[in-house]
Amino acid sequence: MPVIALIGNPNSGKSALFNALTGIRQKVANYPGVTVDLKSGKIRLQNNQEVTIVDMPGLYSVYAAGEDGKLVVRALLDKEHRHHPDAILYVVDATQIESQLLLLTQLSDLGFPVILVVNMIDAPGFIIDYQTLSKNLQIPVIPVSSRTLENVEKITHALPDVLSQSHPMRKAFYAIPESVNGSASLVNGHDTAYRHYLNAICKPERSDTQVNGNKNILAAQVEETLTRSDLIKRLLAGSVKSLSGKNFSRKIDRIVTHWLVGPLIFVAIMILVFQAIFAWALYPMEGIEWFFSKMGALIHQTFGEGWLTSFLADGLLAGLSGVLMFVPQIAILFFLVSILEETGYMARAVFLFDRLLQRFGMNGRSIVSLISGGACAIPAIMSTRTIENQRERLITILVTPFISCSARIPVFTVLIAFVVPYKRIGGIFNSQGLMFAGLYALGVIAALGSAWIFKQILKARDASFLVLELPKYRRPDWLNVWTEVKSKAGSFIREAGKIIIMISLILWFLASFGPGGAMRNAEHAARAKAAEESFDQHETDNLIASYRLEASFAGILGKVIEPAIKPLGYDWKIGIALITSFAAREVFVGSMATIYSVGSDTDEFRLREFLANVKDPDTGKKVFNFATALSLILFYLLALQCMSTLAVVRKETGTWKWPIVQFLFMGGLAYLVSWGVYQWMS
Amino acid sequence: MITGHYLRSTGYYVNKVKLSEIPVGTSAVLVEFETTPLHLHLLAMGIGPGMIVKLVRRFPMHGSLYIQIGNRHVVMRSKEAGQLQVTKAN
Repeated sequence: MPVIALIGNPNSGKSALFNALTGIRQKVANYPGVTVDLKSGKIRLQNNQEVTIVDMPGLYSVYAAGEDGKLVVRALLDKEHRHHPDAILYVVDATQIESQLLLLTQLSDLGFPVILVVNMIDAPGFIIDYQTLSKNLQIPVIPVSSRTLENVEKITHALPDVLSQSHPMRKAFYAIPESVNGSASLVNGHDTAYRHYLNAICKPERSDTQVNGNKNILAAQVEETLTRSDLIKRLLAGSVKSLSGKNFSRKIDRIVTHWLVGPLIFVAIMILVFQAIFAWALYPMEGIEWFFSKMGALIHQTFGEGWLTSFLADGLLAGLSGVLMFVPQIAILFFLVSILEETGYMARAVFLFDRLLQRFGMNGRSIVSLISGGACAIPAIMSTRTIENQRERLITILVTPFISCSARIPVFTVLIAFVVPYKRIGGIFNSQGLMFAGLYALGVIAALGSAWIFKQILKARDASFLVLELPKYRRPDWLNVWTEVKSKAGSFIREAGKIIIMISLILWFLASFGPGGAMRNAEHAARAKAAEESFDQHETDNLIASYRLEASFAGILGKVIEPAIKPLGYDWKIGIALITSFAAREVFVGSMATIYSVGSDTDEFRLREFLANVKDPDTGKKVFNFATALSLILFYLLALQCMSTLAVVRKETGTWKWPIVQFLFMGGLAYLVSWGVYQWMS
Repeated sequence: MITGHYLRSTGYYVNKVKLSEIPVGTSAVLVEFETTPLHLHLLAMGIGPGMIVKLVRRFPMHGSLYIQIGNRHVVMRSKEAGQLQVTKAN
């Protein structure tokens, strides 16, 4: 099937046009090996031919700097590439056409059949004579509006003609000087001289630093770009006129980028965003919980008691609900974040914090990842791909898991009451709410502090520069927002889902089986004790579950690590919860409930009431006091107890080195802080 | 007649200054692009010698520069603006 690539500068309205062409029939391809998601969709042309449309990442020139741009160049040069285009729809913003044609001339010189799609013709501020423009460029031009859908169907009318290649190839816009083109004589068949030249200097295995390090090549590229720009200016004269109009965006920017008001607006928006996440996610989360408890009951009914029921209900179902439980919060966060991106606000926020984040070895763009970390580190780490500088990107990846994610909330909810009793403060606040806010702030401080440390250690390899065009403020394209939410929630389900389910199954095994007849003995002991205390059926079941967990492999593991966690104030029971939390931190609640025989289906509040009365059998003192709870909260805040995050960091950095460094760093910090706090407070 | 830019750090009027040194609210003309990855990137964005740039605003903490070029708004770090030479616009 022929591949049609949509290519254009960032902010050319390319994605909106892609949505207009493909509607919701699109899928996101997760690229193996490289870290870029490509959207593609199938459409039927006027002549009934079916083609694949690929939305390529935005770029300015084939001499691209970013990872995204390099992927496009690779697809253009490698004819065996899965997304090597047969024709290109080159998209420009009608109001910016003069500055967006450079890449068009390069693509044409590479020998691709190209259609120039002038998008956003519904916007004011320009006059274009499309016929003259097409004649001067010798390239077909289609004016469209992806917003009003005006003329979009003309693209499917024009494509068959371009694909049939009945037209002779356009003469090159730019002739490579003999001095740089030593291999021009080798040009054969369909290869254009420019393709040959690019192939020679942009070998995929050559990194950008090497190319940039070569002054001659760089000089040739600058020369080429200047020559092309001059040519474009000449070709556009007489066909394009931009008008100066009132500037709405700059008026908003006067407030939004103000040195004092700007950050305040940002903080206010963030408070609203997180408030909305918690308020809105409550209902779907309750729905998911209800669904899984019904499913569990159904399994118990259908299969009776036994290991199969236990496997399905406590292993598989627990894992599944552990994955789906987070989806509402992640979806809502990315819904709001992509609205901020779509309206153009996020580009401003990036620069508002660029200077501050640079001091911590990061980049203004890190702000998007750090915010997303508030829902889940996995999509947050994947969104660091937009950071071009490798060191800044790595530091952002390393510290993002410090930001309190949604899996930590249930843990904090259980433990917070042991640290601060509920008290109303000043009418609208309460002590526990403030403590929660304090924990979030602590996560941010830990992230920035660690970033500063990594900045001192990691050497800067390539020069960092950040030059961005600020998009005009606009209404969000809802299809784009929807695609973004789908892709982010999808990445979480895909990346974290399999790991959480796998770990859940392993944990189920560790918690359900023990060495030799240990489990059977534990059950007998529990029954005897229950009979002695004349427990009812429910209490007896809970006691059995608790005794069995103690005798299981998980219980043994908990006792093995007890000496290591004793100085932090934890006993082997908390040790089991710590180990099981590696599936996802919120598993803490279920594990604690089982081990203290409250019944694993209990909620945070009932568990908290119960834990308040737990006493150490040896000393008779309460286990959950101020010091233990605070130490445990800090441990969950700082430690990287999330296998899915480790797996994603491995994937994004391409080596096990960084997830290991990150795990040891965060674990070490958590241990030290929790140890210090416990020793000091108790 | 004074043709150059007043450069506060030296107290002189000079012909060529760095873009990072012009006062907020003034315009200047970009000159002489060098052979660096930054200049290549700017050229690819359609920003080149001879273009008039206006420094609209600075971001907090002596941060990035908010620049207007034609009808576009571009932001760059002050370090980058320090690599760009400008002369006085007429």
